[in-house]
Amino acid sequence: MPVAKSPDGAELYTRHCSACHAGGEGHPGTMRLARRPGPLPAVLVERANLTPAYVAAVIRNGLMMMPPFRPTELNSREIDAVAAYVAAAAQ
Amino acid sequence: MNAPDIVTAADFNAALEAMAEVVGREWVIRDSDAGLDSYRDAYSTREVAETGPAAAVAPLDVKQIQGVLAVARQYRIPLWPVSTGRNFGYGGAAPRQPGALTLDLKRMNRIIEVNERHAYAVVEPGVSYFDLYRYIQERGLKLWLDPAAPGWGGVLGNLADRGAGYTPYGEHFMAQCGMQVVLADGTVVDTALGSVPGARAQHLYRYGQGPWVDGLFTQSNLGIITQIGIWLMPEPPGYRPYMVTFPEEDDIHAITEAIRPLKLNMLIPNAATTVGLIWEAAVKVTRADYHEGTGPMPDSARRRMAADLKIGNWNFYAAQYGPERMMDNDWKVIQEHLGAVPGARFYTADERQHDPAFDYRAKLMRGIPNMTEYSLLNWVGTGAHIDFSPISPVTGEGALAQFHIMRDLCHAHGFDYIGEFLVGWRDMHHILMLVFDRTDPDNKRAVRALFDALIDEATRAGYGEYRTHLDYMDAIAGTYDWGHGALARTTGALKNALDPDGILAPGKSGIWPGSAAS
Repeated sequence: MPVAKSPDGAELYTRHCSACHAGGEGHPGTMRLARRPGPLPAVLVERANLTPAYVAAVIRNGLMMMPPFRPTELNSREIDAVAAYVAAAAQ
Repeated sequence: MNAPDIVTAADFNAALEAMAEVVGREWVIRDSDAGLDSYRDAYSTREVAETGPAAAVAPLDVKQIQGVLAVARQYRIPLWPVSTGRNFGYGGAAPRQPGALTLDLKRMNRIIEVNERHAYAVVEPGVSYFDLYRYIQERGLKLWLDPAAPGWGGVLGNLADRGAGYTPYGEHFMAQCGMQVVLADGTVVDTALGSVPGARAQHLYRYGQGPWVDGLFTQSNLGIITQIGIWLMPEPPGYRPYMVTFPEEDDIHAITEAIRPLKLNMLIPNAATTVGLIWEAAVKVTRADYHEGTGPMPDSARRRMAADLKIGNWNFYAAQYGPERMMDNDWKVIQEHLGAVPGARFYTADERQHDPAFDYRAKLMRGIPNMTEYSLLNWVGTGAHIDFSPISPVTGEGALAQFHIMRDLCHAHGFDYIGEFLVGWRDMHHILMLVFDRTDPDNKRAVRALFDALIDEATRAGYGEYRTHLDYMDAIAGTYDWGHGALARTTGALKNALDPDGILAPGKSGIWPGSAAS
């Protein structure tokens, strides 16, 4: 029986998240987070306070202007991989 | 999960069990834990929790679609097909009626063919602009696609909804060639030349012989499109995007008069845009940067913002494509025409470096998908949007009249006018993006009242909408009522003939099962 390949969180982040959350101008998610009060960085992968559970919940449920991602776009294993990547990126 | 009103809970559960046998249990999404809430209309002007399907089912191929259809026919369960489900502003992956079953085609994401020699692609419903772009880039093909502004949108879904882009192939449906459709009874139809066994030119010639039916499956509920052929643009030898700013609101009259001959004679080859001040500014700044109060932004703040950002009340974007010498010649004519509008100021790419608004427009006009336009949702705190999109003739008189109607209604209801005109060959899509705070019920009520007023006033003035959100499909369809509703009776008769059980997307574009009889 073939073993399912583990999802690559970094690759999935690039594919699904970076168009909105990369650094620099022209990225709506980064623009939004830059206007939140507090010292946290606007670029998602530079934030050290994110937990995998929180990131996973945001992906599936959406937050602020960000709509949710459906199971057909990112299944639960893929979400876990992205969430782990994002949460660990700034550690 | 609640069963649709028209079936019993027992039948609904039995149907879902039968569908799970077809697609696999993982791909029948029945509750919040499985992600069902992600199918709601996140940008609904109503309570988001009141939107969304009773369940979702996600087939992988045509055979599985046929299996799901068989179960739906048996239990008379309405299916609402979505492709990438990312057309937020028009309803996303939610069905017209809460309680229907979303048929999620995102898993059908194969790029069947990209033909560089003849410049076309054949894709399934789940392929996004990002996917197709990546495929082309990875293979080094000299082809450009034409993305809608949000790159996560679907190539097939946007075309089927008759959406638009910004390259010379911007009128997406005009670039369609070849279609595969599954009817409600499970019949698979390859349209036009595709119905010739072993067809060799089905993605090169649109029509074949006899009635051309492809258009019947766009913005409709007569079948499920499972493959589409779309022409791509050969990479040109040169590309020059440009921008022209104009200082005053009523300049839209003179701008449009200058655009028409340039467009008709193809000196403007692409789907060019005349972008309003706030649409242009909101890629870089927010409303709170210039105005803290409620109601429409005052003129003084608007002028300050325009001066800071070196933009106009209107900002025209277009591009040249071709050999350098040809572009040099055309540029003289373009400058002569558009430069005749008082206050016109021209900018090239070199002159707008580090400007994210110019940058994303320049990308879109050469077929590079991106998400920058979503920055507009930052205009207000927790932004969402719904779009009102009437068609205008390419005349100064028409553009100015529409602009005045829509701006004045926006302001009367407390909203900013955030709009653009996208010029096709002989028309303009006037896109009014109504940005509202999705966390504020009063703001949502106000946007609904504004939308109703926009429909009334635009219809009174003789302007029809080209596309609309789920909640307004009946209202917009109702404005197409010439000849005692002859058009609606025609589509209704087709619906009854092709989907007698009424299981496909009831209410899509105002077409309901049994509507011909009523």
